[in-house]
Amino acid sequence: MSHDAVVIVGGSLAGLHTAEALRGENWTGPIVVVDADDEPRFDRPPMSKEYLAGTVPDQKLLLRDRARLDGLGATWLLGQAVTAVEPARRVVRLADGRELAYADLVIATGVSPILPRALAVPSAHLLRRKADADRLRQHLRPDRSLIVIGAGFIGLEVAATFRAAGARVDVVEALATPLLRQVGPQVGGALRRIHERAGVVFHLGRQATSVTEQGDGVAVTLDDGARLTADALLVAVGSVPGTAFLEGSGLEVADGVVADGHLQVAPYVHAAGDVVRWPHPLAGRSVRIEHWMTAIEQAKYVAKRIAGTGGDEPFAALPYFWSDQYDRKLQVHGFPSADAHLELLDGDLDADRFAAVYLVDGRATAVVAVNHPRQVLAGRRRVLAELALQEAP
Amino acid sequence: MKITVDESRCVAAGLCVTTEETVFDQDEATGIVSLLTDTPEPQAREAVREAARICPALAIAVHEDPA
Repeated sequence: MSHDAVVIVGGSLAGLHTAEALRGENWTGPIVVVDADDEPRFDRPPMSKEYLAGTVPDQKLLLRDRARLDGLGATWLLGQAVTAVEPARRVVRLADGRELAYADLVIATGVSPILPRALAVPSAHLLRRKADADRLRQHLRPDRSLIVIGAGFIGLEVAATFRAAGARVDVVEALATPLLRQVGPQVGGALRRIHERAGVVFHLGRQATSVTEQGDGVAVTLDDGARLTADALLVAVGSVPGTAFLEGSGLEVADGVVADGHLQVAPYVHAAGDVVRWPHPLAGRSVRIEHWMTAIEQAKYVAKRIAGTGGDEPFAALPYFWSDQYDRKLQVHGFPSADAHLELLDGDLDADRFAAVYLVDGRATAVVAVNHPRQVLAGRRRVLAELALQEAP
Repeated sequence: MKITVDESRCVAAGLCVTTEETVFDQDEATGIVSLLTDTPEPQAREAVREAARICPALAIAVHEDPA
């Protein structure tokens, strides 16, 4: 068995970018991309926003067109799951029993959304694939109603898209503030008020205890006994890393596949994207980050390591994400935390635009802005400088 | 050299602006990329190529002059 191919498990954003970046680093060997999903490679951020709203055509949702994919010269094994990895023999096994030998293996299996048993009625919507967005969009009408369980980014973006289309929207969230873990209580509170002004009804600090289907809609019972009804239910309570196939491989899994500072899991085994947990030098702890941009940066880094053209320093890209809700663009660079002190740089939290930094022990760990891209870039520079100080011995 | 940007792909990360601020700019509210010039001066060209390389959204296209 010849070990000359880079095998990439997962062909979505991180896997695709790894393959492209390998070619960009002049790596000329075979590349095999294996993905259990047979859906073409679609971009996910628009699925809760422009694509869901119907303002982006299918073609625009494709990460790459056919010609560009073909130009990569990679072999795509789609609709085929990897069921096992044997690092000692440097092979992966496919569902049909075939084995693929690798020179280097890249784990880029991403995450999949959670559907808690209590909420698992057949008509419950999740949002991860294009088909999910297409199905959810059938309810996007002024005379329809939606219950969203989970006030994370996907939940709030879908809520905004539905409210903007005139639909009635209820959002149920177990924590006291939307996005509490992601941006903290103050910014989360500001986003809550934006949604409330738009007409979204929140049920905060509440859990859904049961869901039943009734007629063409759903009824959701909350833990305070309240009962909500709507035409459709979206469950957006988080996701789990795609690591089931690593069971028995000897590779460490702990809420993600565990890598070192160079995104290396074991000899000849790398990981990129939502699935990887690694010690971030600027965070001073291990992190797993589900940001679109981080996946791309990790893919480029891993490709350099495999091609032998870079990646000598640990992977330390500062996380960046954005979220579009109504006419607001939220942008965050760094590591926001719920217990940080928020220092306003411009505007106030209820203004049409504002920018603020998160301070922990007096040092900026993150910058957040709504409709304020210039301040956010200045903030990013400050965060990078102050986190680097913290890192120094 | 001539450059074009695809605003519909831009994710407003601002990496291009930090790489070459004489060529790339951002919308005041949305952060979406705009061009201050589509024909960069020779001294800015290497930075423009770098900006196109690092743009996560592949929103910047560089068209080199025929040799």
